Parts: sequence; C-alpha cells; structure tokens
Amino acid sequence: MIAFSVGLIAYWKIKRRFTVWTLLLSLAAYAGAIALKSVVQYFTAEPFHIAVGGNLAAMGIYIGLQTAIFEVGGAYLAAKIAFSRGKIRADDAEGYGLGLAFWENGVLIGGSALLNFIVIYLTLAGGGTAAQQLFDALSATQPDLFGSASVALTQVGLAVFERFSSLMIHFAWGLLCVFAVAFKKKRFLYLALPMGMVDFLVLYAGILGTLNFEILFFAVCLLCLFVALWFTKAERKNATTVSLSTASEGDMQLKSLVKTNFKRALSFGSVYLILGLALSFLLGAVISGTASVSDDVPLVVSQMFPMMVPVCAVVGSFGGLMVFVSDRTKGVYEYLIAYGVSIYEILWSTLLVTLGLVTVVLGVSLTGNIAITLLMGGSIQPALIEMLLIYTIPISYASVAFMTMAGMIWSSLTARIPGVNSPIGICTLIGVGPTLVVFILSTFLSGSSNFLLLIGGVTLILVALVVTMMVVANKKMNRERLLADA
Amino acid sequence: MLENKNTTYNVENQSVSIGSSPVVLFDSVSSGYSGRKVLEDISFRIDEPAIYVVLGPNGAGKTTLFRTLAGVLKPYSGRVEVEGYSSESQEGRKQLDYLTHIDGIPEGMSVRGALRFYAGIVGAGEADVDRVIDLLKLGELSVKRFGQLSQGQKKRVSVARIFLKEKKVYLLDEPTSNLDPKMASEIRELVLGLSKNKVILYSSHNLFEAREIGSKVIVIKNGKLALFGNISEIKTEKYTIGIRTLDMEEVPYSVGKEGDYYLFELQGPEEVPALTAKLLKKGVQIREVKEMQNPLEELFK
Repeated sequence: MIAFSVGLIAYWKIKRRFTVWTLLLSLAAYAGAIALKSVVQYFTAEPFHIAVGGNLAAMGIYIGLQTAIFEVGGAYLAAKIAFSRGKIRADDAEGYGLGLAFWENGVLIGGSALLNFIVIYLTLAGGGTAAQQLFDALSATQPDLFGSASVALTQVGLAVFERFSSLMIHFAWGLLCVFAVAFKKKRFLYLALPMGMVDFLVLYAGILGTLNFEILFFAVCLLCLFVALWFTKAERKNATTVSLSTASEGDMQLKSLVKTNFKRALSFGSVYLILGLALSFLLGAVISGTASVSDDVPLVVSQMFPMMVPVCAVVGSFGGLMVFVSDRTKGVYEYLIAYGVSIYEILWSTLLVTLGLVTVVLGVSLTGNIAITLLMGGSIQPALIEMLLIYTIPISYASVAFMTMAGMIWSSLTARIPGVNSPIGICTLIGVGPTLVVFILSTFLSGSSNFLLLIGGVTLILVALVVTMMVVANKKMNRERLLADA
Repeated sequence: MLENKNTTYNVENQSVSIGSSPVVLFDSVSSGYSGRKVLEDISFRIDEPAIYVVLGPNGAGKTTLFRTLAGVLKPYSGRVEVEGYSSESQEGRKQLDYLTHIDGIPEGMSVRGALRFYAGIVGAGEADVDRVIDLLKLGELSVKRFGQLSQGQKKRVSVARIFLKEKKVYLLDEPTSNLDPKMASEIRELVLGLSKNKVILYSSHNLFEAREIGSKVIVIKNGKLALFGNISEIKTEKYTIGIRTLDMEEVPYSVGKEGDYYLFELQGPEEVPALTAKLLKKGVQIREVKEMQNPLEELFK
C-alpha cells in the first residue's frame, strides 16, 4: 500500500503535476483532521456512546459526521487558504486527492502497520522471554498472523482492497475541494461533504462480515469517485489553462531559495553540523560502552541515546539560522522583498532548509549508530526503534523548528549592535529546552502511556508555537524588519 | 523659490493629473520606518523614459523614496504605482528592478553562484547569467567568492544583477558610491546604455555626476520634494576646483591657494577642459585636478 501510494504520486508528478506544496498541504489537512477527530473522540466518544445506548446507527452518524466535517471540511479549508496564497492551482486538484490518500494509506495505516510488523519480527527473531510473551499475545489476539498462507493472503488481499477504496474516496473529495475553491463553485464542496459519511459503514463491519463490508465499502467509494469525475468533467479540461493563467512566480522563487540556501547552510554551518554528528556518535559510543560492561543497563542509560539525539539535531542544524541572519545583515532580503518574495516565504524557506539539515543529522546519526552497533555484533532492541520513532524524530523536528522560528523573529526584531556578536548564538539553548523539559518531566512519570502523552503534548505545543509565530510574523511584522539597517 | 549663496532653483510640488497611467506615480505619499515619517506628502509622476537623478544630501530620504517605490516599504499614506499597478503588487514589482546602496549578495557565494541565485528569483535562466557576466566583464571573477573581490568589483557584480531581466523601470541607489573615478565612469556608461526607452531613477548627492548622467532631476530635502524638473534649472553661481602642479610658485588665473591646491572659480565642470588647456599652454605642469566643494552640500545646509 505504501509503494502503491508513493507510486501513484510519482506517476502523477511525471504525467501531470505534483508539488511539494501539495504534499505538505495534504499533510496539514489530513493531520489536522485526525488530530481534531482524536481530541473530539477523546472527550465525547464515551459519553455519546452511553447517551445513545450504544446504538450503531447513531454511532455511525457520530463517526461519519466527524469525517465529513474534519477531513472533508478541513481539506476544503486548507485548499482555500493555500489557493488564496497562490500555493496551489486548479491542476493540483488530483494531486491533492492523491496526497490525502497517501497520508492515510501510505503513512498512517501503511506506515504504522509496517512499523508494527518490523517490531514484531525483530522481537520474535530476538528470541527469549519477550519473544515468547509476544507470540502468546499475538496468537490469542491475531491468530490469522500465524495461519496458513491462504488465510494470510486473503487477509492481505482484503486489507489492500479496503485501502484501494480509501484511496478512491480521498481522491474524490480532494479533487472536489480544490475545484470548489479554484472555480469558486460551492456545489463541489456540497458534493464532497457527504462523502465523509462513508465512515458510517465502519461500525457495521462486524455485522456484515469482512468480505461483505469490503465489497459495500468499495462500491460506495467507487460511486463517490464516479460522481467526482462526472461532475468535474468540464473543469478538469480547463484546469491546466486556468492554472497557467493564474500561476505566480512564488513556487519558483521558493524552490530557488530553498535549494540555494540549503547548500549554503551546509557550508555555513558545517562546524555545527560536524559537531552535532560527532556528538551523536560520541553519545552512541558511550552508551554502547556502558551497555557492554553491564547486562543490567539502567533505563535512563538505555534511553539516553534516543533522548539526547534531538540535542545533536539542534546543534547540527544551526546553519539554517546562520544563513538567515547573514542574509538579513547583508541586505539580501531587501532585494528579495523588492522581487516579490514575501516575509512568509523567507521564513518558510529558512524553516525548510533547517528541517532539511535535521534530516541530514538524524539520517546520518541514526543509521550510522545503528550500523556501527550491528557491525560490532550488538543487537537493536525494538524498544529503541520505538523510542526513536515516537520520541527522537518528532521532538527533533519540532525543537529545531521552534528554535529557528524564535531565532528568526528575535533576529528581526532586534537592532544589530556593531561590535557585538549576534544574540542568535544562544538560540541553541531555546532548541535544547524542549528536550530538557521532556527529560526532566519523564523522570516523574510512570508508564509508557504517560510518556507518550508528554511527548505528544510537547510536540503539539511546539508545532502550535511555530505555526502561531509564522502567522503573526506574516501578518504583523513590517517588511522593514528584514532590512539590513532598519 | 529656494535661494542659496551658490545655487538657486525652482521648487514646486508636481501636481498629479488624472490621465493615462504614468510609468511612475507618487500621489501624496508619506513613508518611513517604525512609524517615523521620512518622506512626507511626496507627489510626482513620470511619463517619459529618461534618467531621473534623485538628488539630496545624506539622510534626505532618497533611499526611503526608492524603497517605497520598490515596494519594500509600505507607505503610511498615499498611492505609489508603477505602470498603473500598485508598487506592492506582484505585477508592479515585475515592472522594475532595484539596485540598493548595499551589495546584497549572499555571503559565501561565488559571483556566478550569486547571479544564478538571483536569476532563480527573478525567473531568468543560465543564458542570462552568461550574458551579464560578459556584459559586465566578470568572466575572470565568476568563480571567485564575492567576499574576495575589491569594492569596485563587488559593485560591478551588484550592478550585473539588474541586467538579468529587462524591466521598464530601474532604481539605482548611489551605484557609484565608494568607486574610483574610472570605475564610476564605467558604471555610468552602463547606465546610459540602459536608458533607452526606460525610466531610470538614479540617486546621488553629487550635482556634477547628476549633470553628467541625466537631464531630469528630483530633489529631496528633509523628506519633501524640493524640485521635480530639468537639471538645468539648478543654477550654480560658482564652481571651485583645485589644481596641484609640479613645483610652480605661481599659477595664472588662480584666485587663491588651499594647501597644495591652487583654486579656480568657474561656472561649471564644462569649463574645466578649457582651463586646463590654457594652463598647459602657459607651461603649467598639472598633477591633479579636483572639485573643492560640492554645491549641493552648500545648498542643503
């Protein structure tokens, strides 16, 4: 399913058009909807279930309405904002639908399933008590996993069938939402909204049986796809023409900025990059050393590596902020603003560059440390992989994004004093802050669910702060703040 | 009418008439920084292609005028348009190019890399980069890092950027500042070459440079428009030059001496060649000729 989702996007990129903006926008729309659904269900699912006496139809409407409002309505809202800023065009409609489908099928469901199976495989392959306990648990809860090939293949086939249906319906409402915005035709939105009610069926899967449910689900999704394609026939023909006539240079400018500044950030911040990587390898070596002298490694030490890698990411990705400060001081932004680059694009491009650097640091340090451990005959515990995925990677990106946004705004709002070093140098402390908060608070927590809540909470707060700073800076910050001598 | 002991000229705020879209329009514009007005109630319109020299002493508001026209600063009040589009709109920005008084070249980049960077921003291609490298004779410098260049070379690279894509309006903020006379002259030649069918706003605080390059003038004084008209309207009563000679005790036509320089009072720089020819005829060995004062400095006191 992951390969299929990615393949479709690649195909569409080659055949027509699929931009990074479309991918990010679909992520924002989808992730926002899932987050809102989770919050609503966390507070209301149980009381509602009690209130309706567990009535399936009422619960189906409850679930379906949330999908219609948050997923479809959210997709429309995100498309509207992006379209008004020239980030997407009418001919991005199909790509947007594919993007929504990708985040659900390729990442949320496909990715998490893949991760789950990797952890299961690693645990079972490792043998010992943990493997036996896991095997017993899985045999009881998911016996199909250990069934014959024909049983397993049927399950796989039905799962792929279901994801294919999901892909069709996400594509349908993604397409309709963008066309509703691009052609200013609300009727496309009114067609898309009811499609979210497809989740009404989910609760009837147990009654209908898996096969019947999947067939019915597929039929409904196919109908939605047909409706979307039928009603947008004329618009799809005009989409490219309309898009070309309204296309801005924004995409090109942003691409050029990110591409050039990423290379410059690698060179500018090379010392920090090397420092961040060296720190992560040193950390890996020290922890491996501690583990090798004692089988009974304390929890705090075994978790030290994934806990501290975000600090390495913060240090290693400092080059992005350095480029921003340098360009502001050298008067580059005066030119960029005159050429029509907005404050938002300047901040966003720096953020993308910095997140690119985080990817480099995480990619090299994690794969390098894991490879070294395996080459030296060590083993990678599933708990470590889990910790890296649920803590290290999200907190690294969130902390660095927060540091970079705070640093950019700080730098823009303060006048440079000749002869005094930029205060931006201490921004790393801002970046390290969230890691320390998690580290300190986690010592007071018991249970993995509380730890997950802590990580989720900190990450969400950081993301919310970054988004708020970006919006406020874009709306309220005067352009003169980015001039060299303003 | 403003009067000064050296210079007199007419002062009239140009009224903005309603008609076809001017190339550049300033209509009752006030602008500045952090709420502090630097430009106040400026109005003028430019309809004809020409070089318009923006004159004013340091701090008069020349850079603020350019930044407002380039859409870098949002005016506090009034209307700024380029070819009928708001200067802040994408269409308005597409009509003009802007050379600021600072280089604005990203640190750590090579000359070619910097030009490619800006080409990417303005939508120009590699062929345009090659063309401007040839035009500005930057071939040998193209692989060097910008930081390694001399002041003059840096300015050339900075100027090269405005040739990447053809525009209707060019704003050049003191393009010859910090340049030696030869380099300044080369830059002026390039600007003159650019001027056909274009509107060029060229800021300077040197009246004689202004006379050399343009025929129209916009004079800014204390953030207000002091003059919009022909440069010939600025009359200088006196133009003083100093000439340094080789071992001469007395130099004919001189009105005095200041340090090593013999002083001569002329009507304008156009009389310098005739004076030097006369002095050479009299056997004076000239080592150096220089302006002893800038009439604008006196004017804006």
